[in-house]
Amino acid sequence: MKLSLRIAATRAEALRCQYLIAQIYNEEYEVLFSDDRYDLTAKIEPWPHRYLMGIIDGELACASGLYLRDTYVERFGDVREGDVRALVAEAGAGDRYGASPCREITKVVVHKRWRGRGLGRAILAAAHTVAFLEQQATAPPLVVFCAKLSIVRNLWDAIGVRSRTIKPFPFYKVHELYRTDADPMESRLVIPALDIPPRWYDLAVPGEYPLETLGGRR
Amino acid sequence: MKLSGEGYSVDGTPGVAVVRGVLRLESVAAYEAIFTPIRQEMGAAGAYTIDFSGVTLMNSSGIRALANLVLEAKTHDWTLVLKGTLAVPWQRKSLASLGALTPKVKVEIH
Amino acid sequence: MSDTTYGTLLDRPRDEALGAFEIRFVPLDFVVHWRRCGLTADYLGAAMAYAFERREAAAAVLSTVINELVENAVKFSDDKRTEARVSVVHDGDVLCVEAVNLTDAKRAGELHAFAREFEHADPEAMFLERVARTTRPGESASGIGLLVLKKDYDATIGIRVRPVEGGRSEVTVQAVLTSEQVEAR
Repeated sequence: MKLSLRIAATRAEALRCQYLIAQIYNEEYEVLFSDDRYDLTAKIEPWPHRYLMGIIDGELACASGLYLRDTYVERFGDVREGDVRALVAEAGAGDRYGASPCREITKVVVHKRWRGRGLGRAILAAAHTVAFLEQQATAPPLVVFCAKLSIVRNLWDAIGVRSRTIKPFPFYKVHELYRTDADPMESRLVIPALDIPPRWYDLAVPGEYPLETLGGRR
Repeated sequence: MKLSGEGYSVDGTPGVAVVRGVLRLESVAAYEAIFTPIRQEMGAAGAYTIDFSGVTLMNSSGIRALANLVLEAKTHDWTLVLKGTLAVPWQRKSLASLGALTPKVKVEIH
Repeated sequence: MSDTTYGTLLDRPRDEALGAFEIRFVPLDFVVHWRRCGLTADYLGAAMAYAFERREAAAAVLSTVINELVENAVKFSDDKRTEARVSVVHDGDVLCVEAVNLTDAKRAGELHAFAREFEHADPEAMFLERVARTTRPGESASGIGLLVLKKDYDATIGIRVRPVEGGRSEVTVQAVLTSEQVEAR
């Protein structure tokens, strides 16, 4: 099975990604989205700025969003610039990423029909490419995300992308059907040059790949 | 206090909030964006008036959120006045009926 | 399993109607842009209001009633990509707003429980009881919309739950209003 990867370039492609994300987030977590506001207590989330599409046989099977600015972890996770800079300095990457902005991988979804084939890992791996992360960037950005720890293990750890804990993510009603006390959420940092394996970072997008080469199953 | 969203606005002066527009937010929780600032002022004021005369439509999530506010006023023994107009059906019908929740809340529909 | 109907469902032939509109929609569209619920209700309400003398009041009442049924159909559709529909039929004596959507067994079970109580309850008492529930954390008190239509607008509410393939159910909710009720007299 081959997965075709490309960044949503037209309004129609962005809409297809939004609708896939909205369907999954609403049906599974009762989340609604808005163009112009967000309210995590009311389960209303902001749309990502960019989308990566994973297509199988012409069908949008999976997608990932990207916040180019105003990241979720900064707005809602109580993450300050100093928290990120301290981790970057600690990793010895201050020279390269001293003034880098943060971008955030978000809303990684797999269509219900295509689950169980490792597409979550595949689209997440593809979301860590230069092509997706650094689009329209003036300096190499840092990458942040927030997720519950089981997802960090099953997705980020599984594809070999190292992530560094910034701080626990506060509780919001929007996450009541997602997180549990036993499986809390954290804000995490990925320093691309150090943490993303070159096989993902340099992967060409757009491109078409056998699913197993992206960490999925045949 | 001054806040607004698409299709509605709230203008507050001490003791009074004037709400205008169409209120059809997604859920009861979404109304907290409007009612939390009002609740904070209600707690500080001796008596508080919310004027809904300029709200032409409100959905049941809003009515439920407003009912919660009324029950809260009852719990804290706040004096609350809800103002509306007979010309707008939801005010004549639903807003008026919220007075039944507690005598501490006065509903004035003119 | 067979259909279960709570209250009365109007089943008049549409070809005898003075006016009829039906909008089919994908609930996901309204999840993505919530204001489409109100927009749809405003359109149908305004279009139907031409049949009434007190047009402004009729448009407001109809928009309110239609909006509640559309919001419910969106929220309680299990697969948000499965089409739902809302119709408004006016036959001169009464106006019938109807929303139809598909839902899963869990939501259908909750609707049965609500409808059994709703069918015979005093709406004012049930409203007060449900509103009091919302102050307890974790309780959602859904059904307030239908209670509001029944107690404040005197709408005659009918609910039908019809099992369909795959353990799902087709839910039909009707709100029937007389001309006096539409015009808020």
